[in-house]
Amino acid sequence: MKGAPAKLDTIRDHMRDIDRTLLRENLKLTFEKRAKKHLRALQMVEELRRAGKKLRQKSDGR
Amino acid sequence: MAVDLEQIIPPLVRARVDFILIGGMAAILHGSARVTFDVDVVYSRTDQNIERLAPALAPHGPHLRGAPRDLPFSWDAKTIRNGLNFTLATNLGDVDLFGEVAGGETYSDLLPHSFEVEAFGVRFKCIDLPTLIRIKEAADRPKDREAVTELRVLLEESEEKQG
Repeated sequence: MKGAPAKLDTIRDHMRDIDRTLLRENLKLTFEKRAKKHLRALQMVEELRRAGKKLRQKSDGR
Repeated sequence: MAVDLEQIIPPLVRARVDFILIGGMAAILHGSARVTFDVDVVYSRTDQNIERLAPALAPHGPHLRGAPRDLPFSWDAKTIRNGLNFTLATNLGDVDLFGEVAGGETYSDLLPHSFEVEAFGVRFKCIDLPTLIRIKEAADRPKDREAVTELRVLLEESEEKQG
């Protein structure tokens, strides 16, 4: 139990680092639009992963 | 494979599966800006629900994620009854099914802490924000601790919005 207040303080410290503007924009959207926005972000992440993999394969082949 | 909530949720709803959306996708619906790669749901362990859940996912080729593909695995009501939590890969993306979440809570424990979402032409249950925070705190993995910080900010923002 002794650790609990310190943990909460750490969370409060980290909360200051969160970009609230992104969250406020999301909160303006409907649930469906939030899910669709996430899917687009996810597809972009996967595209970047594929590009990174290709790049690594290319440099390994050198 | 990018998991698409729109592909996974409606078949479960149409099959009348009792479930609650939890985890990262629930966080997205609450406004999270983080990216998550799977869909987590807690499902009711009643016999009738298990009988509905098995055929609802069966057409999408569920198999144990990370297990060797030659490991015998049959996706049916018996398998669900004999197990509890399943980390599955399907042809719609990764789906985690929980009979029980961190902290030992089940579908019926979480039901009063869920709300109805209308999206993708169906209505389904999603865990409320305070309970999502509680579940993630109970799981206490490094990724959960990061998520909790953002979820607490979202809770503050929602409370401020409501006045």
